[in-house]
Amino acid sequence: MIADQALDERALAKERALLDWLAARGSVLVGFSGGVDSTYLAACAVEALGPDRVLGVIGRSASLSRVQWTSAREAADHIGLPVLELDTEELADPRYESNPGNRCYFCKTELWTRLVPVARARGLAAVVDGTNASDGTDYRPGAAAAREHGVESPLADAGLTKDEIRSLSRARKLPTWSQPSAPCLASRIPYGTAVTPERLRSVEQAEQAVRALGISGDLRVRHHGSVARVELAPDELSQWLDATALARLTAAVRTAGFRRVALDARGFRSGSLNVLAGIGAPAETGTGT
Amino acid sequence: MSAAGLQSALEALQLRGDVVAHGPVAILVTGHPEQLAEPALREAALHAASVHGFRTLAVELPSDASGAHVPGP
Repeated sequence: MIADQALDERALAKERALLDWLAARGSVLVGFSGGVDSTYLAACAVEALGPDRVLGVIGRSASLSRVQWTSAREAADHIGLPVLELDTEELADPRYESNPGNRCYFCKTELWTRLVPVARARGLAAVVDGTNASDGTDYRPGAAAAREHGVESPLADAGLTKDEIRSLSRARKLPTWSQPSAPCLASRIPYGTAVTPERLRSVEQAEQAVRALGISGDLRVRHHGSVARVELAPDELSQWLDATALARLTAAVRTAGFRRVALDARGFRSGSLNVLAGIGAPAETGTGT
Repeated sequence: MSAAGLQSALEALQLRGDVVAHGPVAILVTGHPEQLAEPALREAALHAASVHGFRTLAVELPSDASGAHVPGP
């Protein structure tokens, strides 16, 4: 199973502990986004328990991009994970829609309120998410909602860091091992600006248009009203700081309805809107799963 | 936050363009974004933006910029 000789023995020991933990549970429901963490967790769960005792659940809403949804389905197919898709309605919650600094708490409350009863109805012993040990220092109000609903975080409990999860994912040949983090689309909208389906759609369309230019690394289009602020990975930034290239980027983003387009000179930063708002550590909450 | 102060600071770095504030974001409107392609200079510009109260600095082409026929810096 693990063929990468370069893998740190400590990481492998943590993985063994994770597999033991999952086996001891007997059955689990995995909150599944198809991201690096939840895909690795689900793959381990399928190995430890077999596919008949694991269920991955994808929460669908306007804040989940089509690209993320497709990626999640493909990751599930790759690891043989049975999947259930549930529509979530966090946008109908005015506490979420108003986009406070703890917006993720309301999103995760909606998610787990729907997922935990599924686990109970199907006799699954535990509900787990992909929170890892590297998330501990970040500003993550969604974690409180998970705790309140009895959701467990075995990756974090095993002490597995993001880097270790990527290495272990690579050893397992998971397609997600090098995947950029992909938090929900609402993370592109500054706190205090309402999260609406229209704004989420604009962000999604703009990011798709930028991807179509060949940008493959970390990317965020931040919604600042009429201005779209584009963050690119540092290694891709310099080549777009050119009038002709920036004109192409600008034209692409404008197709999503933004009047003005500005390229961030600092480049991609996870949780940059937290930084702009002066909230917590510079981190971004993922799709939660 | 001071867009005028930042503009002066950027001019001292030989960076030309018009600085406009958009909330906590400073936007340098210039037909020559390549001015910021050099990482050390970019860091200096970001530092200046921070000193003048902005959380970040972004670059925007003038609205009439075609990418080829824009005023020089």
